[in-house]
Amino acid sequence: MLSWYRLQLWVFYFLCPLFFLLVPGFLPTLELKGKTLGGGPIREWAVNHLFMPVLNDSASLAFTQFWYSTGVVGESGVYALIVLNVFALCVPVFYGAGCAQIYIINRYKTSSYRAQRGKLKRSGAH
Amino acid sequence: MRFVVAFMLLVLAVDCLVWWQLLDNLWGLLASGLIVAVCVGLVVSGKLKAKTGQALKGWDLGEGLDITNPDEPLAVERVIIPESILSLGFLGLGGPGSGKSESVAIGYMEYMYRNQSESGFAFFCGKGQKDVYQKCVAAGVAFDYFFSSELPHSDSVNLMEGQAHHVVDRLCGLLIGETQSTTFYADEQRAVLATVVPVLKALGEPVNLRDLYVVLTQDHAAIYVMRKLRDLEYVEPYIVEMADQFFSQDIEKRVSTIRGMLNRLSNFVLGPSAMRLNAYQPSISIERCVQGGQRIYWHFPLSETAKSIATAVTDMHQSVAMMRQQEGGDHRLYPLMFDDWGDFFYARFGPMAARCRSVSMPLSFLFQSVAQLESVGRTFKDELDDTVATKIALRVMGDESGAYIVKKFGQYETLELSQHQNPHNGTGEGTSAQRIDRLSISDLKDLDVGEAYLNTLELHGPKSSNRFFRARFPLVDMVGWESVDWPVKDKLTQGKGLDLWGQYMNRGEQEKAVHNEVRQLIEESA
Repeated sequence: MLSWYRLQLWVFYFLCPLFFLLVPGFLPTLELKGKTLGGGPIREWAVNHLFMPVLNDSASLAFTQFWYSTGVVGESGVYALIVLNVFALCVPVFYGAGCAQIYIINRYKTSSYRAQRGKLKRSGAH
Repeated sequence: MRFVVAFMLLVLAVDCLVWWQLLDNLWGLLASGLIVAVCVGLVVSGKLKAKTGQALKGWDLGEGLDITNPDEPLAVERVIIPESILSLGFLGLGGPGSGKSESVAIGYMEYMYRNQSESGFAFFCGKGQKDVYQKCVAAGVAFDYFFSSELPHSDSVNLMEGQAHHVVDRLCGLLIGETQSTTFYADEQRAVLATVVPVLKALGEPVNLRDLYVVLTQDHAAIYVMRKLRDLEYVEPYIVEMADQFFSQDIEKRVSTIRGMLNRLSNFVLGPSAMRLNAYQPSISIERCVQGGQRIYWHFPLSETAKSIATAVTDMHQSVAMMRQQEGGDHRLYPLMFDDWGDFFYARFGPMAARCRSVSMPLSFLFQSVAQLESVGRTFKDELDDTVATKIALRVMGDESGAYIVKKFGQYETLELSQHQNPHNGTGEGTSAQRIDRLSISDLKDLDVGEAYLNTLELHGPKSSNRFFRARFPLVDMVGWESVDWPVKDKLTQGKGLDLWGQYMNRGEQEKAVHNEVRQLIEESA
């Protein structure tokens, strides 16, 4: 029977999404043809669209001061925090999806084995 | 799901830490600590719940091997025979020295004593060995009563205890023999018991089998009883009439038809243990013990006398079961445990077992060999197999018993999937199923003392699962058992009752007492 551990579904549903959410923000920032590409813009986008809207005035002021005074490491830390929060909101959905997958696969396998066993019994080929 | 919630809480805790750092607000730190604590509590409580949830309430045998699927045996920390299943009784089979009495019987009694102290139990020892009693007591199991068919200083019973119709029913089975040729004598004797026992019981005084014997064999005693009966106002007229009809017959004719019954009755009215079987105020009242949750040790070293007494005593438990059935409702558990009882079974044991089982008086058996089971009858063997939920197979050396156990533990199905690759026919899958015995006879011969294969049920709400284990019954602490001696009761007296035996069968003693009284009166008047 399949389970979270046997099928290593936890890798698929938890580690992989987390990895793919984190990696873009950790990419090095490059300037190409006057355009800034890589991790920097992604981190900025995440801060502007996901983090700042939830802060109140005093907190956003304090955060803006921090953001302009910090380096790549600080920026990456903030980005990791944002990703973790986003991922935490997605975890129940992933968990439900994994459970559903396990249930469907097990159901299919069980009925398939049961059918084979019944066929063998009927044919008397023990 | 627990870990998902814990993860989400941890992220929230990190957020609170950031809040603390960003705004220099101590509430952030406090909230973070609180959330971490909740998170840890959630995980720990979940683990504890999982641990205790798996542990069923029952007789814990310790470590063992789950062999429900013998191809993949699982080591389990605790093999437990659930309490609810134990209350259906168990059947144990094991050769001499396999640990039946020491590990299973004493272990079970110790479990009952420690964990279900409000429930009493009766232990029927067919071995008669002193060490079984000594070890029981040394293990801490305190018996309220001890009755032995041989030891003179043990407790007493009254085999005529109970309501008249129960006594008639018991005595019919106990005293009336079966004949192939005619049922005339059996019917006649049954009618006599159905007439005389209610008469004796109607007198309102304690009676015993000795009184019954005397009233059936002595005309004067019959006249005395009839006179007494007529003086009583509350006695139903039909009882007086029936007794009158019976006792008006010629004594010789009367006795000739019940001679066989009287011969059987003499087993209980004569002999060294007769006094303890016919106490008017017995120390052991089975009904009281069952209802009050008391523990009795019945000691029956195998002999013809012991067999007769054991039959009478087990029948008395049936009478209590009948009463419980009539009362209805829930009853206090009162297990009956039979150790080495193979030679004590009798024809009516099956119905008796069924009746007892139905009113929370489950029977558990420990046998040496399957032949002991078969000696009772094939029906009984099958009945026992059907009604007992837990089977314990200790070491057996005989192939016959081994084969019986192997059959009882059944077969399991293996399902093998095979895949073949053939350059011409391509790839394919094949399935093969095989049924294999769960145990082999050699497995049973290899067991150590106290080690056993068990088959029991596990109930999880409305669902039940049939489980198979290999486990070792824990040997309870019996240090100092050698110093335990048989219990010695105070000097027994027959007590006060109808005492027809004293009046009509023990005349010498009576006359001596009257002479003494008269002499005393003369001396006093002089």
